[in-house]
Amino acid sequence: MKKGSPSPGKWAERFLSFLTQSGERTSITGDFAEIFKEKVANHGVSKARIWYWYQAFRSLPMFLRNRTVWILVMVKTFFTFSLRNLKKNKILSLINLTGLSVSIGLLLLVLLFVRSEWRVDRFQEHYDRICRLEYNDSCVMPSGILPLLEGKIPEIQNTVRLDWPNKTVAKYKEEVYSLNRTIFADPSLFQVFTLPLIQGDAASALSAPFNVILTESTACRIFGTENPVGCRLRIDERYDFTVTGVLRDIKDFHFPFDAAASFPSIGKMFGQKALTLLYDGFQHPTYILLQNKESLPAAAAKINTTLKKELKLNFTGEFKLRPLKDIYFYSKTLLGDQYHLHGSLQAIRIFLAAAVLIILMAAVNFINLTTSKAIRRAKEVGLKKVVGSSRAMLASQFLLEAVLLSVFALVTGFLTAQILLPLFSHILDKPLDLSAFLRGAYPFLLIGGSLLLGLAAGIYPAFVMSSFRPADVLRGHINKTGSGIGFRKALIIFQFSMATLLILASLVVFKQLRFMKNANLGFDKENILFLDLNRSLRSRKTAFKNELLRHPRIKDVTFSCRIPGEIMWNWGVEYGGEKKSVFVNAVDPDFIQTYGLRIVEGRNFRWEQNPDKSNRLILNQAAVRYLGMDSPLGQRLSSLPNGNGEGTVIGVLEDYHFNSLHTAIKPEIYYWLDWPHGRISLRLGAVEGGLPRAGLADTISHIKKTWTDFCPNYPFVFSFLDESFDRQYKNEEKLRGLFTLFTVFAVLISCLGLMGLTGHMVENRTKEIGIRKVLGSSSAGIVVLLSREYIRLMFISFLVAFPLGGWFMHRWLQDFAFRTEADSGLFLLAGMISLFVSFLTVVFQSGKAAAASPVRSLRYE
Amino acid sequence: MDIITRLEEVILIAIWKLQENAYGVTINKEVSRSFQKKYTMGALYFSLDQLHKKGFVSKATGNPTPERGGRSKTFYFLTVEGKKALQRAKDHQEALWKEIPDAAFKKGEMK
Repeated sequence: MKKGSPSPGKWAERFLSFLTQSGERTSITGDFAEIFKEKVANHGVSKARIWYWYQAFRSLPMFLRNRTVWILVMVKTFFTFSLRNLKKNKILSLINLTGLSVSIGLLLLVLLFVRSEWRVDRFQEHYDRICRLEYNDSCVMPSGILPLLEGKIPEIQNTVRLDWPNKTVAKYKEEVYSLNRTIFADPSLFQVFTLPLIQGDAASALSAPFNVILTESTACRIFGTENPVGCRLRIDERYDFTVTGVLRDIKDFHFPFDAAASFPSIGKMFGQKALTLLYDGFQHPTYILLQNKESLPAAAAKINTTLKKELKLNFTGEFKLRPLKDIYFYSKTLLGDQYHLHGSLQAIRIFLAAAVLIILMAAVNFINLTTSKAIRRAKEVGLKKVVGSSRAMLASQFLLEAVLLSVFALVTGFLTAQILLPLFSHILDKPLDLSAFLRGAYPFLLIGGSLLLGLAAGIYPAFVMSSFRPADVLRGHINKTGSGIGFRKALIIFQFSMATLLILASLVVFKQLRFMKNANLGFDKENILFLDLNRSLRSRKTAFKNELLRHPRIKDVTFSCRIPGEIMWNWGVEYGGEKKSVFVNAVDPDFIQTYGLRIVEGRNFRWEQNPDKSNRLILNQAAVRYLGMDSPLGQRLSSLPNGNGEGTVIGVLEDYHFNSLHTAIKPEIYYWLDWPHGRISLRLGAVEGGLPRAGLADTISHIKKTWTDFCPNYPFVFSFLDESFDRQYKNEEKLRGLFTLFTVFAVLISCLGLMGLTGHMVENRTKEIGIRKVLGSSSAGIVVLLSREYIRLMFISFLVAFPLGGWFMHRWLQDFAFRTEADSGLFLLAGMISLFVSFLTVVFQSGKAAAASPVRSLRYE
Repeated sequence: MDIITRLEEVILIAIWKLQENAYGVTINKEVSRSFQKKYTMGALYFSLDQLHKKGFVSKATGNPTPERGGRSKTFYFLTVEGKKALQRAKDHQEALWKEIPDAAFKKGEMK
């Protein structure tokens, strides 16, 4: 084209020639150019250009149709080649496939777990706008705080107060049912949260006192097929509640409950005062529905100003609004997992990282094994190039092989995941269902992901293998071990450092968990058994206690509000003119003896001294430090939850771990309450020479008989303290389980890769081995010769794994207030394990070659 | 044998009419004129390809011309098969219409 004459533009022309087949390209672009010129003359350049683009795009389907036919023909040939190759190298393909499918299976399981974690609360219609009112670390508020805000903050659309879940018993038609999670809820519950009622009217269900709504499964348990609405339930043998609604079972909600009673009931049950508490009774999770999500900072600021003015207190802390999306993952509430679901972003991150690591290891296997065997296909490449194949075409064929393998691995990975699913669900203690991945966009995402994996794993081998020069190959001038040895070594180092890292991580998790479970808690958790208290025992508690003690093995019995492993009440006490938040527990004088606690100063409560009952206090050392008491005995505290709200310190308890070793020991205050509604703990004497739990059947039947004699209407449920206490380490147990699983597979995958590599090496050196043996080398010498190189790589991989692992584990351990150390012994052990396993693999492979008769190996050609 | 489509018929007639000068641009113009609407080039190439595969047209590469940026044209010619196919289409058309009496057609038109 002459310079200066108008052209349709470089990109438009390129686009068109890209679309057309080489055979017809000139004539078609020529046609376009001709019309373009005419258009320029008639309508001007810009219009002509638009026409050109428009025509090119409009013709797209036609051109593509033409092209696709040819692509399909090519792909078909590629497929034939690829399948032939996969079949030819059976062991290689099997190793690759096993690695890829196991790693894909693990990743699928982890993704399934992440998905189920991610769904929590997301079904809420006002997901973006709900937040929880919190003060410092406390996610619960006294009942009177919310009314102070009423009508003062325009950003707030609606609010709801719930209650700490309580254990209650409901009696219906002479049958008693226990409701483990009974809460109170404001009538606005349904306006703030999306909780669908199956029966009943959302607007009025919770408005009157003594109304209660039940979840579907609870209603079914109590009423069977009967219609529960309108029925009366006697709660805790004291209050009559009317069922006003049935809720669909709550799934994926961070605050699950079985029954919700109307909030006004609190006033009728505990007096109107209980509805307007400002400084005590931190037990109500309080949720706020904002007008829009952007107004959160403004609302939080206004809440702080309003409350600080109304409460007339010297606040050191701050009220916060925690958005719903952060509640599940970020809130560190003191409620147990059974009451407030918690997700761990850390666990998600760790699991994802581990799964990705394993995928990478499988990809490394693929890269290593394929490139090391590349020499075998050098002839194929050379010949194809001679016949006229371009490098790009060859590369795309090798890529296709990789992609084919990874898509196939997706299918087998799915099966692997299905096989591992029961184990995985068991470890995570969460029902999971793989069929979620068969719906919606997931299949496409998964296939897309495995395509990407295939491309990523195949790109380097494709690059290497398509690079052979035909002249060299066909003359036989090619490096026998294949190219890129350095790169391959780096990959092996990577692989083994990751495997060692995982081994190390599992060991540390194991050690920390063992440390926490075996740690000296300051009390004896082994021989304690506990029961739930109920109201019917109130008047006969001494008789009940004495009856229990008649059995020789029952040494002590104590009634207390909370037992170790549970969360004590958070309470604001006044000392020295300051209000401070502490943890309180109501006990009886036998508590200290039953749990084997030690008084370091002062004395215990005394049964015979009545004043001890209401206003004497025992503090733990942490509380003494926290309140800043120099000589604690005789100090007076006020605004306590006991009788008249006052108390004098009579004793100091040595610090012990009321809660798990995650947290530091909190300031605790114990007072004696005549009727501490909560638990009965029994200390059992150990049988001499026997196992700790030996011969318990008799003791338990005695307890059961006593129980049914005293309160026949209540189900007999007992638990051992050590089990319930160790439930606090559930997350670590999950981590340990998954790490073990991941580590086993990671080691398996890297050993498979190593096996393939050594096998290949041995094959290449068959002749050398034969000659060495003929010349007098021993089998052992040959094994050493063959494995030396790999052992060296292993040691290099430790140099990567140890500092990295040390750093990660140090960070992980920071989350524990009491922790073990990742000491050198652990590193040594991790190194030994991975060294041993890989040495075994290499020796297994090279041993075969070393043991073979040299006659054979020399005759193999 | 199959009857060719109306588009194919129009293209074949255009090629016939254009004689020695039937290539992309001119065929497109003829077809567009006949249907009284602009025809996409791509659609035309596809149909031409199909006709070529069926053996109704033959191709020949012409000399490059300057107005095409130095690119050559692909000329199309009607083959004997193509002519036969056109004839069949015409016969079929006439046979089809013969089955309807004129009177009925006029009545329908008046309605």
